Amino acid sequence: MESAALNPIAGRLDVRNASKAFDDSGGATLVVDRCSFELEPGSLTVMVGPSGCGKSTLINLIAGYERPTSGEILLDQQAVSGPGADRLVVFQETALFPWMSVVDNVAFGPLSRGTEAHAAVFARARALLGEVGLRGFADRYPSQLSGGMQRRVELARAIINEPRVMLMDEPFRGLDAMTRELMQQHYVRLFEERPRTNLFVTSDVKEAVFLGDRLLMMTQKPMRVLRAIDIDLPRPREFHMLTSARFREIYEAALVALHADGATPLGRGTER
Amino acid sequence: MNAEAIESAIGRGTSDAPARPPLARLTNVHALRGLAGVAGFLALWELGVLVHVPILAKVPTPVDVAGAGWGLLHDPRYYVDWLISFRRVFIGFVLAQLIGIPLGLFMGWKAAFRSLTFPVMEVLRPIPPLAWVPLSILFWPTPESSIVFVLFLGAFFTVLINTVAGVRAIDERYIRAAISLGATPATVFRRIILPGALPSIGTGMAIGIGITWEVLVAAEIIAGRNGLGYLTWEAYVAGAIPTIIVGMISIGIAGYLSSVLIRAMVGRAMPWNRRP
Repeated sequence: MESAALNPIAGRLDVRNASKAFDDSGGATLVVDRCSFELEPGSLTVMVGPSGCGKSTLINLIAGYERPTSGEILLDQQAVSGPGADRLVVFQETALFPWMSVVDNVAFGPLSRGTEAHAAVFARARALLGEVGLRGFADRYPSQLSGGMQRRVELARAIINEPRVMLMDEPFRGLDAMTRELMQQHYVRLFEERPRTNLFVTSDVKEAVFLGDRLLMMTQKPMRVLRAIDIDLPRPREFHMLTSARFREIYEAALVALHADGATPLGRGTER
Repeated sequence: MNAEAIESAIGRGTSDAPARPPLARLTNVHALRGLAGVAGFLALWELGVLVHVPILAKVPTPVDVAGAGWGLLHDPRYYVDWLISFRRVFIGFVLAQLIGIPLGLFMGWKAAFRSLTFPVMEVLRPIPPLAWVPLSILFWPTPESSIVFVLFLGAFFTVLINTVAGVRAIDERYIRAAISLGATPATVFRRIILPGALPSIGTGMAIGIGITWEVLVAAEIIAGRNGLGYLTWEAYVAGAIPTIIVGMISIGIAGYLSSVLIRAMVGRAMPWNRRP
């Protein structure tokens, strides 16, 4: 697994006709409806859709917490059959372990798998914390950090494992606007420095266009892929791009696509 | 604008830790208030006896009690009573933790084991420790061991129930996150379940030590020849009312000291839980 993580072409995720229905008292409710898309190795794909449209369910399918009702999910040609450190989720709410210091949290993954010496793991953890601006906070407990700082620890705790796919499930939701922009900066910088396959879920179109290489616009109830939009803004992404003409064009196209949801039937989609 | 600059602009930087109030002064205020409370209680008591409040008819005044206490302080047997009671409580309490905590962790962790054992535990739990005394005397070879057994029961169910509840209250997100990060079941148990249940275990211990002291008196009255509980009973038999009250207060102080000790220990074991 470690060698696969280091393999530069690894991290291709294939979602093929995946559907998920939940049984409830009134019968089965279809939440995810025949979704198909591909994540290119080392690319950042942003899935945009209204809150509660089933994006988290799809993330859970890819993470392996749940099985699709039909269809399949392949990571580097292998069917996903359960949770694994090759596909890490960064959740909406922080899931940092409150009883561990910040650096212990970050070191948890590599230490659990026991493939690396303690000293090396902690050195990497501290370096990574420095990169997200938390150099002086390594020995604090999560409860002593602000919300934005906690999310950055969470980011570091995932990245240190060098997963083949990072799944970001609305990781910045609930943060105030300033902190959120700061998080976007930290996140996009981390991504650009070590590009790996990322699937980022958000309901904020501006955030989506600023971060992504590609947008997947989703419909709701049940969720389908409405349209895919490629983003050709240059990297590294900088905040001044938010005011560029190209940014606005893409942003508007994305908004039009979202608002067309329901008015137009399923568009060209992304099926290949 | 770089990240750090934004951060310091919105004040989320190093100023994150709130400034502590001067702890020493705070403690003094609390200690003074506590002393004032004790003094007020004693004054009301003395006054109540002096003005012949009906229910205090046979109660000696604090001054009489202090006299009896002073006498006991010069009696080496009094210190032996303290020691013996503390020893019984300690052994019973520690045994309860040694058996109750691992059992509780396992019951909380494994649903199958929990459904197997829970009904038995739930029936045994409401039986007051004192109801165990007759059986305990028959069952155990020495009075000493039957006292310790009853004390053990006093703390055992409390810590067991709290440990089970503590494990079950652990947020599923932590377990999911740990498994995603590659943790084996053993690692999940050691680094998630155990520390996650610790606050609740601590609560169980703090309540448990209190119950142990509550049970002590009755256990010593029934099966003992010494100890603070027996001292109180012996004073009753001899009609020495001030000594009864000295015995009661001694048990109260011993219980209080034990709770303080347990809370300090538990707090030390959970540095992340310290209130800023």
